[in-house]
Amino acid sequence: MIALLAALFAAGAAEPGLNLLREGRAAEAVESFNAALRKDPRNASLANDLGLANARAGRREDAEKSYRLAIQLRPRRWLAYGNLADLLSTADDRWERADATLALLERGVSLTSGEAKASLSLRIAAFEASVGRTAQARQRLAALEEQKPGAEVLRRARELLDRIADEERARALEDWPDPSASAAQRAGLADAERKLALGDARGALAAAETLCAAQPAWRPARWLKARALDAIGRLDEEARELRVLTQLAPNDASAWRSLGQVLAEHGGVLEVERADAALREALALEPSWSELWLLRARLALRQGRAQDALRHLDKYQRSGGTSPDAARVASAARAQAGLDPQAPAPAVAVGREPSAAARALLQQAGSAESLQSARELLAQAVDDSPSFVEAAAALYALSGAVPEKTLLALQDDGPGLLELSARVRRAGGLPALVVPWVDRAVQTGTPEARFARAQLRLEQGDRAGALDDLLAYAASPDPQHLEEARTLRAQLVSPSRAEIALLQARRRLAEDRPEAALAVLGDRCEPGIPSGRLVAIGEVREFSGDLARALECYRLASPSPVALRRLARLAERNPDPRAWEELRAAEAQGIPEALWALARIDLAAGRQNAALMNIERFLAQASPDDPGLPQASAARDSILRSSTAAARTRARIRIALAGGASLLLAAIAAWLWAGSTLHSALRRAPRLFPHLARAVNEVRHDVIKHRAGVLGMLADPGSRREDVARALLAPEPASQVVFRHYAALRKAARAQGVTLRRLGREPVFGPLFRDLARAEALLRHPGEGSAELARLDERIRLLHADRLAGLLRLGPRTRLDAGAVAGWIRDVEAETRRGGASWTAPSILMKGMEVEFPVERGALSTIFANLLRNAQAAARGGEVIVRLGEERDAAGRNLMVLLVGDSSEHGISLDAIERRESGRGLGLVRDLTREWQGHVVVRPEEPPWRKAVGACFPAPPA
Amino acid sequence: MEEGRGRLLPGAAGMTFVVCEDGSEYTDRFTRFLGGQFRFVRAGHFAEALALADGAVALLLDLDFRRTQPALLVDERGESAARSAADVQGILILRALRARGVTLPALLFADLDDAQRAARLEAELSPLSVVPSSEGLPRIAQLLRELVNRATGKVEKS
Repeated sequence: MIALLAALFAAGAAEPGLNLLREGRAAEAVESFNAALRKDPRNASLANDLGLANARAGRREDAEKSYRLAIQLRPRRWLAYGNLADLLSTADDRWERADATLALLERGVSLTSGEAKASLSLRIAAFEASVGRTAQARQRLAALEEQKPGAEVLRRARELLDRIADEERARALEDWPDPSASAAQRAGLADAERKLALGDARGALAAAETLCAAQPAWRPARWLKARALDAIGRLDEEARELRVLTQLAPNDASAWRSLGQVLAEHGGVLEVERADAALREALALEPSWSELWLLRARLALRQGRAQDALRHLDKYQRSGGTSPDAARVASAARAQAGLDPQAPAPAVAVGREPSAAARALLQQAGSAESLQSARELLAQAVDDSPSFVEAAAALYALSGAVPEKTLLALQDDGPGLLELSARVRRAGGLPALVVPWVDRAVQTGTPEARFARAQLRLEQGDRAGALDDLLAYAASPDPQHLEEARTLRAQLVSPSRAEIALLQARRRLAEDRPEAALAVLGDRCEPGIPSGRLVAIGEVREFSGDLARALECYRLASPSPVALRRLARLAERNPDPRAWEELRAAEAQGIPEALWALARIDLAAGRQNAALMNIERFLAQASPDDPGLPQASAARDSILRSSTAAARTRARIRIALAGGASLLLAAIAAWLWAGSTLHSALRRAPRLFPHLARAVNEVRHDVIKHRAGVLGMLADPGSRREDVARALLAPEPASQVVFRHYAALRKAARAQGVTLRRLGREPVFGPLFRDLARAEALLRHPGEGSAELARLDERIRLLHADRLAGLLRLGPRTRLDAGAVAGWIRDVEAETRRGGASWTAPSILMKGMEVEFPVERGALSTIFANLLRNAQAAARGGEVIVRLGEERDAAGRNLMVLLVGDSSEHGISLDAIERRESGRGLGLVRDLTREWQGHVVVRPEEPPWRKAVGACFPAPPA
Repeated sequence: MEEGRGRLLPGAAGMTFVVCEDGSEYTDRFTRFLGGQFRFVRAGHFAEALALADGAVALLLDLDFRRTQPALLVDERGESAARSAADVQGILILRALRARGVTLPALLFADLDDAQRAARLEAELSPLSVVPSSEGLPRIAQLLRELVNRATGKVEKS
């Protein structure tokens, strides 16, 4: 009664907390149960409820304490044990605490009975399964069935058995333990690796074979052997070696890939299925090997599975694959779609065949009326066919002995011995009886013998021997009972602590069932999920081609090295700037794939230099089989090409700019300095001088004398500045007068084929122009620059006037002596004679040896020729004289005189000459003479001449 | 004949310079800037110069008379000359004046570019000073004052 009341009280005290739990308010429920427990600290039920609330609130340690308190308060109450088992089956440290936990739980089982005991056993079995002790769990569940529990417990027990079976299958994916190799073997392996690297495949193979013989399950040696076989083209053997390797190491992605590739590329039709399976395993382990999807598509195509091929191609493309071969395969797959798949070839059955008589005797023994008769018939059958195992085993069942002849017949028949052993065991034979036979079968090299002996050894308690046999069996070329061997291994090897869900997911992926894998793992990546599971979900996403979601999972799982490596490999194909930080972390951890991913992000952002640096590092560090290598190499070449091109372009642009600038400068220079100075122009075109002389005289007279000459009056207090300004500026600025004269000069020069410099750059007129312009500018502003104006006045009057005078000294000179004059005369004579006119050889009278005329030679010769022709014409055969000399006129000038006199009676006046038509005869003489600052003269001559017509030119200043 | 404008300084009222030129540039310039000190009268050709010489302090001669009518050009004798005489008409006029007994001091504004020739002319046609265009107006004013002083017997302090 008291107990009942106490239970009722407890139930009432727990009610608020339970309600809160039902409402999902676990934290509040914890408070409620704590409060109730403080009031009733001996209440085991409240303690158990508190454990539940803590567990749901995520307070695992508090939950465990509460359950343990409940157990302590009521050791016979099973529920707290069961809850504790549930709680600890998901604890991270359950492996370390498994023995202690199981000891506690076993104590609980021993204190319970009936349905409670069954329920607790079920929970304990689940815990055992959670720590990999599946065999114990199976045994516990088997014992549970014998207890005839209720239907619910039975159903849950079967579910647990299924789950355990599933987990065992998943654990079959775990690698076999690697045997410890000796130092000499490791050195031998390293040496063989070097040989292979140096191209000595045969040497490497020989060494690998030796190592494999000594250590059949040593994976590094197998891997070396496989690669050596590949190098020398023994592909069938390579495939066999790889198969062994994948048996030993189901998590060796590279082995699976190599096996799949060898079988796919070099295997026959019968190998296609195995090739695809190997590739599936490889992809399940390494979903970043997207090119394997293309290979799988090809295999599917070979098998007539067009839809599968298309599906694989889809995944290939979604995984970032870009091979042009994909389009060809897709095209073939679409063309193939709708066709019936080829039926697989039937497997070839192989059997052992005794003689027909022996088989008949066996049948007769089966229907014999007595045991004796049956024994006799069986003995006859064995006599007939000593290796007739079935008959021998039947004989053993009847007589308890195996005929010696059968053992002799099977001496070298390993499979036969194994079959005999199995049958004898089924017939009740003891292990010890069959051990010699199995040993003999092992000696004959029968692969299955190892498995059989492992079973026997385990049965006999020889766990180490059993494990050795299993390992050797797994390393055999084609083990028929590998799955069973793995299950057996679970009893011999401490179970791995790998999360079973991860293994199961891996199994699902290998079965091409990513959705099922997600069902095991959960399909969402969220903060708080263990990194291992996040990576696994990411792998499934990656396997499915959902790279973006896979990336998010890996990012959440970082900085786990596994996650970073997965992320880097994925980002190689799907570079995402959001993963920049994680990729940097991966790079810092020495994961080369991150370099290529970072480079791709840089490339996408146009940061070619940064990308190039990462690409170079990636190419230096990446594994030779990294799928990103070709693309990275191509990218590097492209960048280098574009850099070179860009550099060339920049150089070209710089050159063009420099050229352009040079051209511009040259153009400016040409614009500024183009053309000739007056000095050089006069050398090239002497006939420009008359124009120059006129311009200079005009400037000196009009500008310097009459206008600029007043500048000095600014210093005179009696002068007004505006008067000075007016003198310089009106009616037009003096500078403009200079400009105008120079412009006329340029025009005259152009007419003679010479371009004069622009005024600003002409060394005589230019500075004068500028000084005048400056003076004008100053004068426009009253009161400014008196001192400067004074300097300008001095410059203009002295410097510029002197320069202008200097120009006048540059005029051409033609020096004539008697010989030169005679030559000119001959020319005129020849011309006159050709015209049929009369000719009189003229006399020549020169004052001095030579006379220098300030006239250009051509102009002077023209003048002379016309004067002479005129005289010859006038003389009409009479006398003609040529006079050359120098005289001084009334103005004090020294004149260079050229006269041609004749004896004609007809006189001529200057006025008449003035009226002469231009361009010929004396008109031409007139014009040319005037142009060269001279004047025509007509003078009387002493007889026999009557007059002389000539030209006078003022002598140039010395 | 034109008479220069300007305000005559006391004592300079009778100091008249005959400006002999084919245009009026000298006369205008001198009158504008030196009119307060001196009187300037322009003579466009020999005859006018000869007429104005009497009572003048000095002769101021341009060299080039290309704008003068050819008929008015003279030679060193004061007789009609060819057109070519225009280039050195100032010298010819002075020679003609000298030939007529005019001994007034003279300034010849010419860029002879030949010092010997200038010296020779100054000697032949003395009293004569050849003034190149590089001489500014202040220097010309100075020369005029010297001529005036010489005429009035004053000595100007420089």
